[in-house]
Amino acid sequence: MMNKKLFSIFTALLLSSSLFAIDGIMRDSLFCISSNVIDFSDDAIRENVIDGRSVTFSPLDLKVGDIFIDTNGHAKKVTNITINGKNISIDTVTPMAYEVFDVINIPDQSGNISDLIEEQIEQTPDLEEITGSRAQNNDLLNTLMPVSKCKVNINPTIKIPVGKVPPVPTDENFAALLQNQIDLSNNPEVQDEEKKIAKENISKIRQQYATLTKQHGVTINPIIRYQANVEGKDYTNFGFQYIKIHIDRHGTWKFWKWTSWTEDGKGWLSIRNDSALGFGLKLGYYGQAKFSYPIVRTPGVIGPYIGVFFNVIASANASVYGEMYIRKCLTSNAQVTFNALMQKKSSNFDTQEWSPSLQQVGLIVAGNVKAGPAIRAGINAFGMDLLSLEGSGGISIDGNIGGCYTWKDIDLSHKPDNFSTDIYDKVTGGWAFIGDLSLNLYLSADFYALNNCFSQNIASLKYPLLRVNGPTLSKGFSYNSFADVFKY
Amino acid sequence: MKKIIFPLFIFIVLPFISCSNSNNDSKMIVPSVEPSYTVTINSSEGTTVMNVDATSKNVTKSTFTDTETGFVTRKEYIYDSKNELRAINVNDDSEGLYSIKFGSLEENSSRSAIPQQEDIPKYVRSIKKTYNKEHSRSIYDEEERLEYYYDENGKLGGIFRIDGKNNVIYKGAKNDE
Repeated sequence: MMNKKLFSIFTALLLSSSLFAIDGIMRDSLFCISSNVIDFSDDAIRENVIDGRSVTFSPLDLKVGDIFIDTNGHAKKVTNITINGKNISIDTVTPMAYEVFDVINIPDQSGNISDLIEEQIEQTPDLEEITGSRAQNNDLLNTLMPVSKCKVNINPTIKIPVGKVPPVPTDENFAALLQNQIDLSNNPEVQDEEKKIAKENISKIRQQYATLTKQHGVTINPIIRYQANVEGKDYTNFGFQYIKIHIDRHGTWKFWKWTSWTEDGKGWLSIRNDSALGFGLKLGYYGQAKFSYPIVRTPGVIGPYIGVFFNVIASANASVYGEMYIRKCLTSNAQVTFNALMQKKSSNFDTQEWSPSLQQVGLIVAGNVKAGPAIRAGINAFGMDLLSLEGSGGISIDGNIGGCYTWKDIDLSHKPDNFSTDIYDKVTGGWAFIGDLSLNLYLSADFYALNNCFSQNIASLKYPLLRVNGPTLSKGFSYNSFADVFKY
Repeated sequence: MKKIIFPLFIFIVLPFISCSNSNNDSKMIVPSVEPSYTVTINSSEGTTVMNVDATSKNVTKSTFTDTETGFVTRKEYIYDSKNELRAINVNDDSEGLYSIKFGSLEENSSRSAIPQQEDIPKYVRSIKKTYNKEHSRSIYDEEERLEYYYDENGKLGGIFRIDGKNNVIYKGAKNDE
């Protein structure tokens, strides 16, 4: 009769060696649990095999020295039991691995690390839903750099106004009339009743005239980019093997009646991580003109107000930028073998690192015109906005034209053997010019303070309706390789 | 004195006897009302409190409190009329809600045609997990399978749990059997 256990293990090994594709999540592994382990975990085997029968144990059956798997799936060993009527308290410690398992076989597992990460991210809202379309920042770099799930792109823009003309009436008559009423309301020699009328007039005039705000200044744009798994070849590789065979003397000194035993095992882990990190700085100069016409607005000289306006905003900016990309490939291998008590017998650890870099400088000129209604609410005093919040939407036309020069500084002397250089072969260095024009629907929320002297965009979203890419002029690399450069 | 004892017998002892008898009758119908046991398992990682039915010895409820995080996992165990576990409903502070449904032990139809084949499970049981994780806001299912292998003498040799990725957990007979 075939030994039951050997037969079962043989069957299990057959099952575990089936040729399933390995995609980075553990599969085809085998865990043989010692036959005396009692299992209370959710989905494991709750029965024990005793005398060819299936027996299910209860927590009331536990004795000191028993090993069981708790409801949270963790193995525990009973050290003490205290019984007080219907209340039973059981103290436990973590057992040794060899007390729980007879055989562990995790065959060689290989997979792409980012697949595991992306599997988690897939369960969260899409990044593009949060950030809006790629082109929302009116940034050629972002337009060319596809939003990847394994990519972090920190790209804030700091605006420092150099020249600012507060909102002024576009109609000179209204402007003169407004100034006259403001002077009247501030004149100490004027009667209170007249001051009150003057303040009401200021409010009425403010409701009728359109304003034009102009500003220009400097933009500073630090750039930090990170991309994992640059070539899609990150991987992890691991495995674990453990086997336990007992010596049993059967109470006799006759060694030929003994059954031999051994406990041995090994584990291995290899990780290859290929990441790119980019740092850059973009300096620009911008100019903006905003025409705002009040459609309806609540009256009031001092205090809160709310109104609906029609805005037309034209802006242009020119920026120069420089970026440096460092690509790091780290390959680590570790292997450990051990004996019965999980004491380490030997191990090795090997790491290889390679850090080439790419540099790029470029120039971007961008223009933007947008028009649409806006709702604005704020606090106003004597015809001036102290604080306001504006939500606007409409249609925008965005144009970008840019050029860049790239060169590489790659030291291939320490390259790992299995490292591809395909992407570097494409980039030989050189220059390229590219342009695009797009028609978008936009939504924006902005904060203003001190009569529009300070402004800050809170959130913006663009939905592209139409996009035209202009012809690309390049020397040294094609448009595609140009885009590859931006993938870092 | 006899005048007092007789009424006492009529009004106090007789009703008591009759009530005792009626209780015995009701025990035939109503299941055991014995209070359940409370088993507390102490470990360095946390505390598990299990309610165990005094008659069936089945775990009916369990609560695990993680010492480090304070997260609590509550489980309710549901059995069928044959005392077989059919479902566990879990409410986990970190994972959200999920349930595990156990199918009944079914004879494997592919083996019944070839009764002496040891490498074909005689019985199978399905396990279906349905997750409703709060953080991922998604619902998904996982299926596992328990296989029961018997030798030619009809003795149970081992039980395999096989998940969707072909990972196998095996529990079998003792070495010295």
